[in-house]
Amino acid sequence: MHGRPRRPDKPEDAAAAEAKAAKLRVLQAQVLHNHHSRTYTKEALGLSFKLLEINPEAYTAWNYRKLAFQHNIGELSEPEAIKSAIDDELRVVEVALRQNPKSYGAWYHRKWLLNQKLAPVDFKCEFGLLDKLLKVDARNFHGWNYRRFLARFMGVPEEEELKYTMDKISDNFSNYSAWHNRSILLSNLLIKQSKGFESKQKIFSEEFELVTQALFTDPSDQSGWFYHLWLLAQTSSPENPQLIASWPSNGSNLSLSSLSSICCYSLKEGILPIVLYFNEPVKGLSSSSVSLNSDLVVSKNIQWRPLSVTDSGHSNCWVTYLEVSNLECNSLQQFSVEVSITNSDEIVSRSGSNYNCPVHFSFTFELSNNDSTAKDIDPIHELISWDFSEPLLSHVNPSCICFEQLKITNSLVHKESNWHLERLSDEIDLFRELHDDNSKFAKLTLARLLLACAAIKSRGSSLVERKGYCEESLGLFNDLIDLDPSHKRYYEDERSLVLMDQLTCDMEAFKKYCSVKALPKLAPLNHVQLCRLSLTRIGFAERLLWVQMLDLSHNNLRSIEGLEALQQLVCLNLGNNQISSFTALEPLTKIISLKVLDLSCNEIGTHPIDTTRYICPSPFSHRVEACEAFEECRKKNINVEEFWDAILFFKHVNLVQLCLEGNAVTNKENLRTLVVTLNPSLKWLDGKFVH
Amino acid sequence: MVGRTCHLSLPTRDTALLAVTGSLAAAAATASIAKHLAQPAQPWGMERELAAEKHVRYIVTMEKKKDSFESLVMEHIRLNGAYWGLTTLDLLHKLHAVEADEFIEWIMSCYHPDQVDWGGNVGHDAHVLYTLSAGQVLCLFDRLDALDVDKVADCILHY
Repeated sequence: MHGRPRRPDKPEDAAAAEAKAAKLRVLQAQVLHNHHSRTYTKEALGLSFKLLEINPEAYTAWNYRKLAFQHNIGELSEPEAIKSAIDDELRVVEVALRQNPKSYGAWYHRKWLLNQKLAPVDFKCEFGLLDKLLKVDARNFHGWNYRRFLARFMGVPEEEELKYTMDKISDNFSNYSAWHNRSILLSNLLIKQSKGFESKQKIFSEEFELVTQALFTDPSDQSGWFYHLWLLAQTSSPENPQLIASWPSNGSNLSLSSLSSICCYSLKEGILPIVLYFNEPVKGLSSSSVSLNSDLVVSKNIQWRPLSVTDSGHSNCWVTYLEVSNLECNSLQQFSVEVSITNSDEIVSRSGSNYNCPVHFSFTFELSNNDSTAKDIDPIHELISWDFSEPLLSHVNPSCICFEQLKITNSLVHKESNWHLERLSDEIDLFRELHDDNSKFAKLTLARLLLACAAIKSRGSSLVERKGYCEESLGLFNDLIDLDPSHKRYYEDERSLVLMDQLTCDMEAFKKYCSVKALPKLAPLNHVQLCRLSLTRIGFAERLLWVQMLDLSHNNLRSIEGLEALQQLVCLNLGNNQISSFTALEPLTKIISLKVLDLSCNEIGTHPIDTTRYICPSPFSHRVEACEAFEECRKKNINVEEFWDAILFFKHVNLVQLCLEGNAVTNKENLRTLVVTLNPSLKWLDGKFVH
Repeated sequence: MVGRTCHLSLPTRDTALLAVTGSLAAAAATASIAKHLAQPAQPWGMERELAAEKHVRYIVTMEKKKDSFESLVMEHIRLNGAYWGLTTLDLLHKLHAVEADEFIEWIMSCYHPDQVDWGGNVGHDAHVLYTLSAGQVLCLFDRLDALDVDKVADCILHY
């Protein structure tokens, strides 16, 4: 079907095509008739053979042949006759594949025949067929799928299949299927610790050398670059998941209004979030894998919930909520909480690795009679100003100091990191040599290598070196934006993540962006201002878990994924960005403490679907059930079909202040009614007092 | 032995690829659009008018061709091609360029009432891929009332 040139019809060609078409039409009708009447004679089968010879994609004809085969084989008892019937059927498949080597129906039929297990399989013949086909088209993925099927069927050792991929790659570097098959086989062999595959370091070093050879031979061929990307993923991350941040952090003291403690605004709602942030997505957090001990009688219903939106149940960021509203306090009272993760078989990453670094931290929080009075008066009732926060250093007890990430190290991690670092450094040196101003693959790979090194360095203490890696990769992404404009957004997002890393990796430098917001009757709010930095995506949220007031205005944000981890966030400024839908704001629905939201001068209303994600919750994706809010809005004559995305958002936030001016959506009637209906606590809308 | 004919049909995952690559209308429309966009000497980012009328005319013309050799070779996936072609017309706000009732009548003639699913054309075996296409086309025409939604959903869940 593909790649056929279009040619103007000639009169004699038209006549021949018409005759050909008439013949095919009759043949198709005959085969369908035989199928419907269950006619399985030799003549009828001959017709279906002719049809499949012309059109191997006629799936009904393959079904017909399966039924005929089953019907006719039932009448045979001699092994010779059965084998002959199978061989006849296999010959039909071969003829079809000659006509179209990528016919799904033909390949499926061949597998189906072998799976009948009615006669011994002639594997020499099968592998011979594959060799012929892969010689004609070495990358035919049907052939590779069939080869994997045969190897399993026959019990061919993976070591032998690995050799086959090496042979194919030697024939021609540009063979995606061979590289892909190689990655699957190596993964299995290393997991099983097969003989000769005990050392990951040795194997991956050899593979890097192999693929680098291919890349240097033909840098413009993409197939090797994909394999290199897979190798990099195997080399650049720790083998076991690690906890890299938590909130509350070890040793912190929380309260609602005490000036000497860290503000925990959700205590006003009687809720205390505890956040655990891992270096990679994990699942299996439960009351048995993570233990909580407290002066409180901790409820048996402690449940850990993933915060990131995933389908698999894995998440980097997990939260549980302690209910403290039932506590009776006659005076200032302090409670302690201890969180422990021991070696846990329950907590596993996507690749199946177990969590294996015991962690223990504790914190305290205060409740007082004054807090119950404060519950009736909202401390955020005055319009928030995003300027004029007090400098961090002038505060008596700068609360940032205890916000450092948990330091989790052991000899195993260091030992592995050393090898990873060595390997990556070697690759970086190689690719700096290969560096050609016009090779986007080389630049992108070099950038990825540098960032992988920077990620490993962040587990140690070499800040200067890691900053160098970040700077170099930023330069590369800037080059790539000019060199490869069709992928501009991807490079901008990667650059944004590097910028976030640079800003937040060094606490001393980060303090320039930090300040404290003093509000009446509240402990001070930690304020971070990351404005006018051309950010397009949020990264390194694990370093911002403590932030309560975040100014991200005047950037280029299209997505705010990652902000859901900021369970202490009270005030958020997203003004002057490129948020184009309410669905893109879904991470905010997971932040209980969020009260102030500035969305002014974005693009909300231009598109109802978050186009930065493959799937976002919407009525179309069947991941959102009809909710009461829809009915509530219908009663107020609000068009639910038009505003479903706004309803789903405002139903799940509980705002006091909101600014929406400067968005396309504000031109719509009823939006104001919708917002006020679903957020009865709202006091300020677009800078004006509500009611 | 064989509970349903559809169990012998192509595996679902692979036929999804077939759906994407096999539909003549979709492939031709895509190729046509790509050819238009690939005009040389046009700078990146410079806006060009989509030749919507030409695409509509092409798709309608392809839909009417039923007797050519190329059409016959694609006969078995016509329902899927209908989905791609009609979706393109819908995106161009030109769904009225075709006669809805004729399409729906034809779609219902591809229906297998005993199995509550669809084949790719009249007389062809049922398959979940074409069942999906039938549902999609009926949605486009806002005619889901033509089928028993619960039964179809139940059938799909049994695949």
